[in-house]
Amino acid sequence: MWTHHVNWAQIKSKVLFWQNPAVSLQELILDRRRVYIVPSKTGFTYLVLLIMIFIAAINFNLNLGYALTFILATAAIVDMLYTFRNLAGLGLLSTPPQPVFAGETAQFTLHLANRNPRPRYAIGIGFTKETMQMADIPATSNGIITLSYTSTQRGWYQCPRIRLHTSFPMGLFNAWAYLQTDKHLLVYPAPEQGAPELPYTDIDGEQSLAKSGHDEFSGVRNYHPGDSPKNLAWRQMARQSGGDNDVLLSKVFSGGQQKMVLLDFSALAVTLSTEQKLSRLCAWALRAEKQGLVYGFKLGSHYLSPSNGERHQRNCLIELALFSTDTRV
Amino acid sequence: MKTLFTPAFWYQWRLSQDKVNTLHLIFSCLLALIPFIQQSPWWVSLAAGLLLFWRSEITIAGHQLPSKWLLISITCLITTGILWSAQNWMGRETGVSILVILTCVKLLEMQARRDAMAVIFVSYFLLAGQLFYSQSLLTGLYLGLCLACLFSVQQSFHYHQLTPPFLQRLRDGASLLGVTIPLALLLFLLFPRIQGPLWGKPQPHPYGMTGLSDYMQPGNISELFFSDQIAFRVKFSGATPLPQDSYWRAIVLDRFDGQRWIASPSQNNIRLNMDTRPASIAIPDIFQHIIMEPNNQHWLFALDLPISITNPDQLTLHLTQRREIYSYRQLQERLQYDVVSRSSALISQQLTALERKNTLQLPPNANPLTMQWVNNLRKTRTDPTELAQYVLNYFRVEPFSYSLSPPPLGNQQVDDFMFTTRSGFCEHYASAFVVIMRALGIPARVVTGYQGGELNPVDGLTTIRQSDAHAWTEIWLENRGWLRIDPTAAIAPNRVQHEVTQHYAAGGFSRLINLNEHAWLRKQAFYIRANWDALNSAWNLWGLNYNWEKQKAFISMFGVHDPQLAQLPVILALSASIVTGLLALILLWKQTKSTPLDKLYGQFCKRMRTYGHPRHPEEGPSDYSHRLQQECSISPHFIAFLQLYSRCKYGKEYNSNNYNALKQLLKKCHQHKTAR
Repeated sequence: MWTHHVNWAQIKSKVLFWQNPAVSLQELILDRRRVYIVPSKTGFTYLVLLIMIFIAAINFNLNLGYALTFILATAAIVDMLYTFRNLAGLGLLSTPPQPVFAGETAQFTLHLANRNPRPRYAIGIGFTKETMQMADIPATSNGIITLSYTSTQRGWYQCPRIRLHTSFPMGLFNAWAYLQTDKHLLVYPAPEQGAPELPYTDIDGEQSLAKSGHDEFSGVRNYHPGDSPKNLAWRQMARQSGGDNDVLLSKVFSGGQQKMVLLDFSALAVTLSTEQKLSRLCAWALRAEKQGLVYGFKLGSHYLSPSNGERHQRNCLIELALFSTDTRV
Repeated sequence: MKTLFTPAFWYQWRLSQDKVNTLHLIFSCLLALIPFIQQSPWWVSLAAGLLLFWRSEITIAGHQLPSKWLLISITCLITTGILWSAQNWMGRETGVSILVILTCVKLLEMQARRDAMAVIFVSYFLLAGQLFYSQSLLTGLYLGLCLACLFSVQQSFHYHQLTPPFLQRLRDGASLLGVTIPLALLLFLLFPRIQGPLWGKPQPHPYGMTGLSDYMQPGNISELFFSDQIAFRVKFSGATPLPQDSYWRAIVLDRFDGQRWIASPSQNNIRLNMDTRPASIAIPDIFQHIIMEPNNQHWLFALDLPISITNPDQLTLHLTQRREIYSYRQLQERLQYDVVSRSSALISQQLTALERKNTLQLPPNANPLTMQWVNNLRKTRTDPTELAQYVLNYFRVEPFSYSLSPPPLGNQQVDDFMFTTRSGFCEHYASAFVVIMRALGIPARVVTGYQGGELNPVDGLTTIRQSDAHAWTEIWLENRGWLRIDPTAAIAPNRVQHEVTQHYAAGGFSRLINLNEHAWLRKQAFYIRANWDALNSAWNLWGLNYNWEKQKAFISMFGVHDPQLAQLPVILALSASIVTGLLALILLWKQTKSTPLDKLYGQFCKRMRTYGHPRHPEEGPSDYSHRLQQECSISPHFIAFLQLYSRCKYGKEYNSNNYNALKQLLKKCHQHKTAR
């Protein structure tokens, strides 16, 4: 039945020119406002060629020459639509990158969703034109591309604008789109290479030399992430669970005897620069965690009470990454 | 281009993507170069072929490309050779030859995609160059083939890793060509035609043209007998002449120097449409629409004798005193005109003193034997008609023969022919007859043109080919005016009375098979050829001769009255935008492939919406059925449908039985609702 109202919304939803519905809020669909398209250098050469053929057709009155010109010109228009179509409607989803230490390469993962029943060929993706990676996404499937970004300085980094580019199929047009995500990269200070020994202290805060070996065993408690695997109470675990290893227990050693480290920014030698100090603290935090020590952390006005575990380490590293000289006391 | 593997690896395995692309490019390039074989010197074609072969060998075997210096020296060598052998350094042939060689050399220094693009673009240009030599229907089809190949290869060079198979890529090229056709056709039909040339003088038509020349000497018409080329086509409206009466007049030659016949300098032109006598009912006027192929000459064709002609726009035409239609400009484009002819018996004619002098002129002291023979003849008879009859009869009775390869004639052409060789074709007979008539004191002249023609039953056009070229004579009789006499008809009446199918049967295949023995085959061959000719004729008429006149006719078909040239861009812009918009809509349409199962579910949801129980967008089929059960007392068919659909879609129960069951349930739901 023919309705009087043409359903524009329905037509719009059917044409790639207008926006596709995104699957999630994070996902971005490349639509007509995001895909830019201009003739490429090759395209301009092609135009010059067309003009030459056209002039020859006029000058020698070649009607078949007119036909050839028009076919080639239309092919360029069709190519423009193909190029646009190769990029438009692509769904992009970026995931937050894992924090890295300064100087390391961060990995940004970009999920590419092609919901159309035609493959998308030869799409270049990268932060700059020079570091493009080529990707093909088969029909109605997803692709993943990992972009590398070398961090130089600690702190928060805005994920750089990602450029998607294609000139498929004929190379006469460049179509591109930018993806600016709200994802941030956290860069920790680079850990100092060959940092000195950890600054062991007594519970009262006085520094002391390291004491070898663990102190007296005082009992067990539930395993916390970050507890040293060396301290797992294997015998108690076996006894308690009756062979079903679903509870992890850690040994607890009696108080005063446990080795303890305080990572204090202000206690470091004044000859070191701020960044060097941060690097050293970073290296120490990593080493203390690795050795399963309990360590406290003091950076300016921020104090983290002695603890250990992945979470504690992360908090320390975040403090180090975001430390700013202005807030220094 | 370095190969990563040894050649043996690639012989054992399939060729890599790069190599397939390169070979594809070489092949497409070859296709674009083939038409130039005829135009370039043979050794240039050979060199191009060798270079292409070399490039293919390098690709397949995975050798290194030759060094730049080697290529430069090869190019210099061949280019020098071309310039050395060329008569004209700026000529088109020289340019084409150099372009051909440069294309092949460029293939040999192809390093990156950019170079491949350069080769492809040059190939597009070569396609245009090929049109200088031919624009026939076959050329058009060949152009399409080349374009599809080149599109495909241009696309192939832009793939990264995911690449469709080779055949699919060829298909893509062809489909791209197909997609361009609607818009390209529209542009072709509506784009304003600019009358060339933009610079320089009109160049002589590039096609190798054969046709009548402005002089006659034994041999130059018989050359045409072997040419299949079309001279012109005619559409008759009203009366159609019999084949034996179809004398297409072109040039009148009245001056003989003993060797060749030429036309005396142009006389006064007569007014067009000058005739005063009314047309006779017994012998009606013949209206012809003639489509004439370019022949680089000045004369147009018409049946004996033309009385009026429509002036085509681009030419100034004159009807000469000798009843020729003369154009001051050479005929370099296909030409169409309407002409009316009337039997010479109905036209009053005068012979001026100058004309009489011209048409009695003979070379002095030439052909003494003939002159003696004529003097003897003059003693027996005096009546011009009787004399003419006697000479024609003499040709018939004496052992004269019709031959396309007569023995050569000496200096005394007519003497040799009359008394020694006695063998020749229309030129010999016409020449001898006119000389004898003049010697007898009867004004006479030679007329060249065409005789006959065959009707193509497919499009109703009569085709006159170069092989129909003919020469005949006219003599002046005091009380009757100019009278056409065809002395060749006295010798070989068959030459004049064609059978319509004779020509078709004689060409092409008949050289391989004797078609006369196979009536059925002959008939088929006739129809195929007739159809092909009709197609070609339509191509020439509508494709190659498409101009502003035709554009006007085309636009008028859409109800625009008297379109103006200034309106054309507007019409073009509007219609091209519409077509481009449609093209974009089709190409950017989101194809969604829904399975039959999804279609059923879609129908179901649509119906439920009309029944007032729409599915919420976030609901799956099972949630939906739960809600329906809770909300309202609904027929179990609906629930059953949803449950079965859910099992089919997400379980493993999808088969034809269940599909049919779903269909049945949907029908039941519908009946249930409408029954209420």
